[in-house]
Order: sequence, then structure tokens, then C-alpha cells
Amino acid sequence: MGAAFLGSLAGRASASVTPLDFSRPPSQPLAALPPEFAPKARRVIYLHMAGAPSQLELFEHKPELTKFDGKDCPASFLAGKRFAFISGVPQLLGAQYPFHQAGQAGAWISDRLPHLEKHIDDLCFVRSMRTDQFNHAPAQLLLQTGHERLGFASFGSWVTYGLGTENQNLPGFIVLTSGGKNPDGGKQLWGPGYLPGVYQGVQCRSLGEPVLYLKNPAGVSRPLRRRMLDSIGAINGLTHAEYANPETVTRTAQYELAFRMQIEATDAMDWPGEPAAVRARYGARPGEASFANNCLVARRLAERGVRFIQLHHWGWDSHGASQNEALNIGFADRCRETDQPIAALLTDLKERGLFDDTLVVWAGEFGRTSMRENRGGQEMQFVGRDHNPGAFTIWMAGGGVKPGMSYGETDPLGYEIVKNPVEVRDLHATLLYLLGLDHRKLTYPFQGLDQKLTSVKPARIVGDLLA
Amino acid sequence: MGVSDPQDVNAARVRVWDAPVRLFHWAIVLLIVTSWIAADQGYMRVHLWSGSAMLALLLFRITWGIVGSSTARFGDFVRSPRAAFRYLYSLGRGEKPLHAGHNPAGGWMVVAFLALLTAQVTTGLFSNDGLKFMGPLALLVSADTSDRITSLHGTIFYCLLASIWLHLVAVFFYLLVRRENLVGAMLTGSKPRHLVPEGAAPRFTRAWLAWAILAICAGIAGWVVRSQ
Amino acid sequence: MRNGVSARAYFIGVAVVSALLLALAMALRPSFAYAVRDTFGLVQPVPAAPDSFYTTRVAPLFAEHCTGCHGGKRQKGDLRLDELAAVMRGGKHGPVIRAGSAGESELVARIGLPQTDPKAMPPQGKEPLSGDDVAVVRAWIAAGASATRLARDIAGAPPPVRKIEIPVLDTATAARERAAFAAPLADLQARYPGAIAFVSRSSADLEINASRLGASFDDGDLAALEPLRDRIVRLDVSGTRVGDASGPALAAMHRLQVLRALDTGMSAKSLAPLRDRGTKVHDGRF
Repeated sequence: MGAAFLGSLAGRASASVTPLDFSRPPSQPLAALPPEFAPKARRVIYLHMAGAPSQLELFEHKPELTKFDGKDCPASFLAGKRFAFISGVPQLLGAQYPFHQAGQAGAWISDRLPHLEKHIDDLCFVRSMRTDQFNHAPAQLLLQTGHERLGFASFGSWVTYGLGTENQNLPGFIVLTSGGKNPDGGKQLWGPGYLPGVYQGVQCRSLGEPVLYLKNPAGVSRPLRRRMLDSIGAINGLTHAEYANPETVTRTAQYELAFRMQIEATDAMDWPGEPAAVRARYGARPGEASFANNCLVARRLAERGVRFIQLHHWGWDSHGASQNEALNIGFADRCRETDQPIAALLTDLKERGLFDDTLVVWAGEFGRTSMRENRGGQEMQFVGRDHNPGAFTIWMAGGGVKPGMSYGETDPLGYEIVKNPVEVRDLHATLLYLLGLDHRKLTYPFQGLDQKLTSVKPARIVGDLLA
Repeated sequence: MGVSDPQDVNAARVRVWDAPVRLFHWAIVLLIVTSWIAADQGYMRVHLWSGSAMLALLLFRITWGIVGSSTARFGDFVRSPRAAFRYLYSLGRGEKPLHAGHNPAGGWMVVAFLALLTAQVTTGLFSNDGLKFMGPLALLVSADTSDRITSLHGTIFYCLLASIWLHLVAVFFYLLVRRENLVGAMLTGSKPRHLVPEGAAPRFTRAWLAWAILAICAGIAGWVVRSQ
Repeated sequence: MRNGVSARAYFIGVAVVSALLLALAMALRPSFAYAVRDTFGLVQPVPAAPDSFYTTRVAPLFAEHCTGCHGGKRQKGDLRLDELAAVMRGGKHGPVIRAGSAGESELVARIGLPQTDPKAMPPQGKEPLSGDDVAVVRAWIAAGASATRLARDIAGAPPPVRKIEIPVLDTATAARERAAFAAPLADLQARYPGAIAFVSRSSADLEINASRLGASFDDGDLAALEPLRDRIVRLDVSGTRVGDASGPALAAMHRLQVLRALDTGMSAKSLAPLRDRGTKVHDGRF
């Protein structure tokens, strides 16, 4: 009954919106489809900073917080709040690194990101992101799939479903992880959910073979592989003629993609062939699966027409429970690992004429508290902050976003949003808009509902973020 | 005090209203006021409870109108509209026609009240306040329908207010013009002998039957209200 | 038994008492008075000017956050915020706006309360007005709650939020325009698979990416695109063998907005005219 009532509400809200047709021939599930309206961005490079980087050590300059460093946290901050680890009355924690203004717009930035700082006038900050999830995996799922639970299609899958991909010799959605380690949310973060499996993100390795078992095994030549695929294709063709299951055609198409990828994916991943100056700019070093290497690969993939490239870096969970989680140790390492490569990626995109139509997104899954974490009510050996779903900062750059923009605001202690909150679904709606898609019309029928990335609550396109 | 057996021709007052009818009348008065204030002040839980109580009472009163005491029965007081107009006409001419129970015009007033209250309670079940409150059966209809029913719920209330006004005008007409205290009768259940037609002898159904019916109606109302 | 008052006297009394009660109700509840006058057709609402600050900035906020309960469908607290006259009239407790004094206006007080307050509007669970939204209402009231004053006359109002309206998808127009060059387009798409695409579903403009064709794409191929030249708005010839000989062909693509031409044989000199006319050229040279 409740569902019927909600259904009638939803029906009323979306009565004027007709989903677009995203059907393609079964043998070409990744064929490019034009967006609904002229896009500002043609591809996405999503830099996922898993673990939630502290906005208060990077972009949020809060002199008041520094002033009250070490003081007991105001009771109003704690009332009705739920924390992962903080208990009792924690102390406020001022920024651990000095801040200064940079660029034409005079945006504040800490001393941890000297390379990124050179691009600061190109960045569009949203300082008022909020989520309702305060644990990593569900919060990451919410950012990546629009839902905190498993089973929903990832942002990259939606984009690939909606737009297809330009280069049929590569997957439309490629995922690279630093050191091959998956974030807390797991592979669901690039999963297809209820969308056909072909729209799933393909996780490539930036070290060794990009895709395992892509290469022909010893003794199998490419012509032999071709003949084998032709035979399998013929048999599958018979099966399809008999049962007409589109999955059969999809499977054949996957074999063919893998065959084409054998050459193109290997070439795309072959970043060591880049000029030494370019490699040095990223700090890319062969023999490791570093974020730097992945950034360079991301640019190569973007150039080759891959629609959605997602880089996952990890280790930002600066609770202060260990060296690696300390704001003054592990956090600084994370900054070092990512600062130069991201700056190099932005520079490279600009030089290669890709910046204007590539949407670069940098985001964690939530923010961190203005209070120092006091696990078990005790002062901890290292300095850290707990999770703050109530406010976090992300930035975007490139395709269609307003450069030098600072949107939204938190209170003087950087704890709660006081101006222009942006929900995750609003961000998704805005990103899809930049790609030329109306989030209300990018739908897929599943379980009786026209599913969409932004789900059923109304999402708004944040116009102020657009160039 | 002379209020007793209707067969007692010597008693000064004649019993005309049984306890269930009187209780129903004053409970409804109380519940209308309660519902009004509760809705006005946003105490929707109170509104829900008072509406539910009204549902039970209405079910009871309609049943009692079929099986109850003679003055409570529809068969006793629902006359033709012509009869009602004749009655009003005779009042206008200063005549003093007597009726033990409801007079023909009053009978139609009762019917109007029961109809309006039934409509009001029924629409209330399907209404919503646009915030956190929903009538117990609001989910059975679409949101649009529920909204339409809600606005009907508001309109019927104004009709109810108008009916109450008419009712009060009539009651005070009897009190001030005809010197007949209907309020007192509805409180005590009896009328002075001279205001009851000669030979009128209302028959009263046993009280326990009323309580049994009321209990069943309360059960039905409770089931309806909690059935969502 | 004493005789009662005469029926005539009684009904005169009823009329008097009823009229008094009605007058009292109308005096206590302006919204009721309005409804009564409205019923008798005695109301002539003065509409707010269409270009006024009220119409462009304040009314949309009321429409988004308030009129669901305080509008045509419901009038909670007897308050309507769907037309200016009703806004100024107020609800069952009287006016909610005191022109010129935002601080003394009940409406401002209510929309400014924290969500947890039982008197907060919109009530808990509904989307509250943002700080900027409240500031817009305050600024309007402070400036006299005028029906006609324009945005530039209202001091202290935050700039309007940029609303994005997605145009209705019009494929019919695009289809008509596309038909004009359908045949050459089909030929060229077959010749350069995956390289030529429409900018969007609602457009007949084309974007062409020849970069994946690499060295197999040269000046001759670029010249072959001639039938599409009026429609090409983006072109990528990076890594192809296109050279200075393609200058005229590119010049003929007069609607070309973006040209990406890294690692080609084209000299800066041959690209200069394109830059001069406003085409954004990426050739990897800075």
C-alpha cells in the first residue's frame, strides 16, 4: 500500500518526463549514442580519494577552529550526532598545516598541495557536500552508485550506458586502483547493478598485463585465436537462433572486444613509452602500480576515447589510530602521492587539448570532524579526525564547470553546512547535465521502477557550478 | 420525582430519550469540539482518536436507529418532507403540535447531521494533512485522491457548522418562543407531561443491548482505523 | 405557563446575533473575512507586477516551499501565499508580514527557526528555505514588501540562484535538418566508422574525431568531408597525416568551434586564420 502511495507520488513528479531510448543492436552494446543536448564534457576522469581526506587540512581555511584548538567541543555539535569512534566530549582540532591564499581568485589552500595550487583557478570547489552515510563502504557506494546499499549501477556504468563509448576497441569504463588495492566499497563501486553487465567498469592493472588473461596463452597465435573466436561465434549464433537470448550476443560481443583489446589496451597502458619529460611531470615510475602511473594512463585512455576513467586512491582515513592514519604522517604521504600526479594530469589535459571537454572530479566519501578523534574517550598517540558526513569538500575541473568557483559554506569551525548544501544526488544530476544527459531521463526499468542514478528523491542541477 | 414508567399516567414528566441516545448526543457535541480544536491546533493524534470515537458512535447510532428504543428509530422520526413542511408551517402559525420524540422537522435535522457526520468521518479516514499525518485509510487511494478528499473534509466541516447553527436556532426557538426546554430533555431524558402528546408511550429497548452494540461498533471502528 | 417571546422578535434576534457573530469572526480572522468577501465577489486582487522582485524572486520561493499547504489546495492556518494580496492579508492570527520591518514579520520568524522547532516553517521533514532564500524574503519585506519594485531597488538580496531548465527534446527539427545531408553522411560514416557523430539527439551538428584513424587519414580524407562542412562544429585530426594542404578545407568549415590538431603536419601559420576567426585550436603548441 505504501508503495502504491509512493508510486503515485513518483508518478506525479515524473509525469512530464519520458525516458530516453538507449537501445542498441545486441552486438554493439557499447556503441556511442549522442547525448540528449549538447554536452560540455565528453568524458570523465573521476579521482576517488577513498577513506575521506580531511577537508580541514586541504581546502577549508577555518581560523576560528585554529583559535579554539584544544578546547572542548561545543555541546551543540554533539547533540543527536553519531560518530564512528568519537566518544565523550572531544576537543576541537585546528588545521595541522598552514594555509595561504593562491591564484587570481585567492582561494585558500594548505601547504600540502603545492602542485595542485598552480591549477587552483581552474578548480570548482563544492564546500557543502553532504551525505547521510558515516561509514566508508556505504558512503562510497552512495557517491558511486547513488545508493548506500549494494546492487545499484555505478555512475560510470550509467554514463557508459547512456553515451556508449567512442573507441570500440577499449572498454567504455576503465578503473585503475593504486597498488591494486580496492576501496572499502569493493568492486561494487564500479559495478553495473541492474544494468547489463557490459556496462560494468573494467578494472585494469597498471602494472604487468592491463587485463589478466587478455594475452593469448603460449602456443596460441592471433590468427589461431581469430579462428577460435569465429568457431565459437558460429556456435553461439546457432544458440542465439534457437533461444534468442540477447545475453548470447552480448557474450559474443565481449569475446570480440577482448580480441580487439589485445592490441589497443596493451598500447593504451604502455605509458613508459611517453617522453621522459612527461613521465617526470607525473612522477611516474615503471614497476609499480602507483597513483602517478595511473594518472598518466588516465590521460592516455582519455585521449583514446574511453568514456569514463576512474582512479581509486586509498589510505585517507586519518583517524590518528596509527602512523599511516595520522594527519601529520600518513595524510602527508597521501598528499605527496597524489598532488604532483593530479597537477600533471591537469597540465597534460590542457596541453593535449582535452581539458575543455574532460570532466575531472576529485572526491572522497564524506568529510572529517572539526574535533580531534578520541577513540574510547582517550587522547590518542597520533593526531586524527573522525568521520563527518555533515560536510565535505570536493572539487571539479574541466568540461563545463565554473573555474575558480567556491560554492557552499560551512560554519566557522568547519563542522556544519551553513550555505548551499549539495546532496550527492544533486552532484550526480549536475555531472550528468554536463555530459548532456537529463538525470530524469537516464533510466533503466528494473523491479517495476524506472531506476535512475539520482533515485526517487528530487535532485537539482546546481546551476551555480556551471561555467 | 415522577420520572418513571411511561405507563404511569400520573407522573409529572414522561421519559422520552433513552440513555444511549442522550449519551450519543452529548458525546458527539464533545467530539466535534475536540476534533475542531485538535485539527486547528495541529494535535492530529487527538483528532484521530476523536474521529475514531465518532466513527464508533455513528455506527452505533445508525444501528440503534433500527433496533433501538422507539424514539431513537428512524421509523419513528423520519417522515415525509411534506410532513416536515406542514410541521414548520404549523409552528409558524403559532400552533403547538406535540411530539414525544423528534418532530418531523427535527427528524430531518437528525438525518442531516448523521449524513454529514458520516461523510465527515469517512472523508477523514482518507485525508492527509500534507505533513506527517494521514488518515488511517489514506494509503488506499492515490495521493491526488487523498488531497481531493481532504479538501472535501474541510468543506463538509463548514456544512456541519451551518447545520449546528440551524440546530441551535431551533433549540432556542423552542426555549424562548415556545418555552420548551429541549436541552433539558436531552440531558434528563424526560419531558414535562404537558409537552408529550396524550397517550404517547415510548418503548425502550433494554440498555444492555445498546452497550453490546456499542462494543461491537467500537470494535469495527478500531479495526477500520488500525487496518492500514 | 408564561408565554415566550414572539417568533418575530426571536428571528430578529437570531439575525442580529448571527450577524454579530459573523462580524466578530471576520474581525478576528481576516482570512475568513476575505473568504466571505470573495464569496460575494467583493475582492479584486491587485496582481504583482510581472517583472517585480516579488514575482521573480519571492513568489517562486513561496511556490516551492509554502503553497503546498498555504495555497489553493489547502489553507493551513487560513494562510495563503499564492498571491500577493493573500500574503499581505495573513492567516488566522493576523498579518504575517509587516512591510518595512522584516524583524517584526511572523513569516520571517517562522522560516528562520531551526528545523527542530515545532513552529518552524516549512515544518520538520519538508525542505527548508536556504539561508539565501530567507535573505531574499527579508530583503523584500525590509524594502516595503512592494508589488512593483524591481530587483535593483531591493537592497541586500543575494543574487539569484541559477536555475537550469532542460529544453524539451525536439528531435523532429533535428531530423528535418539531418535529412538534407543524410546520403553523404551515410557514405562517410561507412567510410570512417565511428568517427562522425551528431553533437546531440536534438542537433544536426556534427563532431568528427579522426584521431583514431591515425596515419590512414590525410588531406584527401579531410577534403572528402566537404559535403558536411556546414555542419561540422568539432573536429579532431590529432595524429593524422593532415597537413597544410587542408587549410582551405578547414577554412570552409565556417561553423567549426573546436579543432584538435596535435601531432599533425599543420603549421602554426596555417592554423592562425582559424584562431583569428574564433575557432578554438589545440595543436599542443603554447
